[in-house]
Amino acid sequence: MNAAGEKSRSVATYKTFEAAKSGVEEYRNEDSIQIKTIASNALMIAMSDGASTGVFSKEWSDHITGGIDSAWLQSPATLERGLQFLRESFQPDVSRPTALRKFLMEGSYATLLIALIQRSRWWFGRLVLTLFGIGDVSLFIFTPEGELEYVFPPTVRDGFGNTPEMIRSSERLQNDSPYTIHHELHRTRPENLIVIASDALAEHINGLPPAAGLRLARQIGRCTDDAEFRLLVQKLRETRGMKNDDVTVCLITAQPDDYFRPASPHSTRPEV
Amino acid sequence: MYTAEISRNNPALLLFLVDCSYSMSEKYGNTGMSKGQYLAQIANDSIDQVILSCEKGDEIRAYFEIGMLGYGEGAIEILPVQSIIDLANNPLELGETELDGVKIQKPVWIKDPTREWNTDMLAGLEKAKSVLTAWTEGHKSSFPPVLIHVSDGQWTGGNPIALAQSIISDVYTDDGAAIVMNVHISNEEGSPEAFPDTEPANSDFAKGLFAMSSVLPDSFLDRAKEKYPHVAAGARGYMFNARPEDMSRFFDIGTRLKG
Repeated sequence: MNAAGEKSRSVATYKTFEAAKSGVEEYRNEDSIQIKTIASNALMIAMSDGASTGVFSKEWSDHITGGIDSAWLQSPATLERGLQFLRESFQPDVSRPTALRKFLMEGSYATLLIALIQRSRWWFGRLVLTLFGIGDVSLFIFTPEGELEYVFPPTVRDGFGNTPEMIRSSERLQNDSPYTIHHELHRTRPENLIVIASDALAEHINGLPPAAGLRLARQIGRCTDDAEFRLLVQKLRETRGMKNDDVTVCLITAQPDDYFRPASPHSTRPEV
Repeated sequence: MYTAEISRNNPALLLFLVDCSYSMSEKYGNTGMSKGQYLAQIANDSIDQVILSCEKGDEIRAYFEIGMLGYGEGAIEILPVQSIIDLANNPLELGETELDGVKIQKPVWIKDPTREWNTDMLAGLEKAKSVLTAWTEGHKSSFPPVLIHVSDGQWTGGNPIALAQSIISDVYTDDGAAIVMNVHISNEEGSPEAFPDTEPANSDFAKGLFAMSSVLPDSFLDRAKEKYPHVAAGARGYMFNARPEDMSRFFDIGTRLKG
């Protein structure tokens, strides 16, 4: 669990938990998450899910989330230029012949969701989310009343497939498997709960009635550490049929309304 | 059933059984190769793919064991059952190819196995059954072993159908019965019949191989549907009149247990 957000003066506080796929010895979670507080107290969260069938998946998902620059979050085109830079700068240790062959033939691949969370300049207390997504790492926003206000990326609103779009480590392989960068802006109330999850948990939440999804998110939020979270995940796998895969989740709540002074308290201009 | 996690503690076994009779030296389709040479190429590519599926960057993980048997005058051991790590580290020879301007090694484990006049399929299946039985006794919690049998014609000697069926009924792990898949490679005219769910009308030999084939478990069925959308529940692991591209697909469906 990481509650470092409470130490910073970012726009929101967060908790993260992770649990690796079970049943495989010495398995390592190939998801990756990076959270940065950037200018104007904005919070940038990047979560990537490395494909376990690929090679250097953990290295690739770490490389992606660690390399994301908030300056790339202007548009899908600027993000794509950044991702191209990440492809070119990815140099895993391919000294063994089979590792080299697999890397050249199949590459590494991963999904990605980036959420830039900022305080609204015009709507006091509201949060504005700038979102980019490739594949099925998902973001949910629940109201305190148990309604599901918003889901991102739009493709997961209709369900989860077995073959999400992926960011490939090589341009040649990417050209064979093109993807769509989903991009949306969303404004939400500070009392709402934002949940970002890799696909196994996201698919499970997506299949629940909204109130049950909120209850589960709150239950996750009450976990005191990763060990407790792993027990919860194991229970969900065994009794609720959740897919056995790596799970990473980040729960985000806005700082209290009085934490920040409004940027433009007298403004009545609508937000663009 | 057929849900056991394939891991280093619970590896899976892929056993190939191939016809080594003289007729495998005939040219195969427009490959420019004999059936035996093409079989060796597809088998080498399949083993390579299985090895790559176990390659995690930091190491190769011993998720699979692989062996290859043949038959002609009798049973032949072409490749003893061994860990995928041993296979990866001990190819028969290393070729070279180039990808993205980088030279990479292309390992070879098997060469054209054609060498015999007769086609004693029964002896080959007897040997396969003993290998599979011995393996399952030491791997009760593993995914059931998969036997991929490649033949281009009728057998000589005893009728092998009952023995093949006994592999399906008698050899099993806690996760299910052994899976027997048969592919008939051919130069004959006519469409291949892939993964039928009813007995083929083609010939007694086709009916025999159909009877010797397992009903595909769901995970195999899903992979077969990717390549052959008509495939339905109840389909058998059998292909009649397979062209070169079909043999390649068949091997892919039979060996892609991970990823």
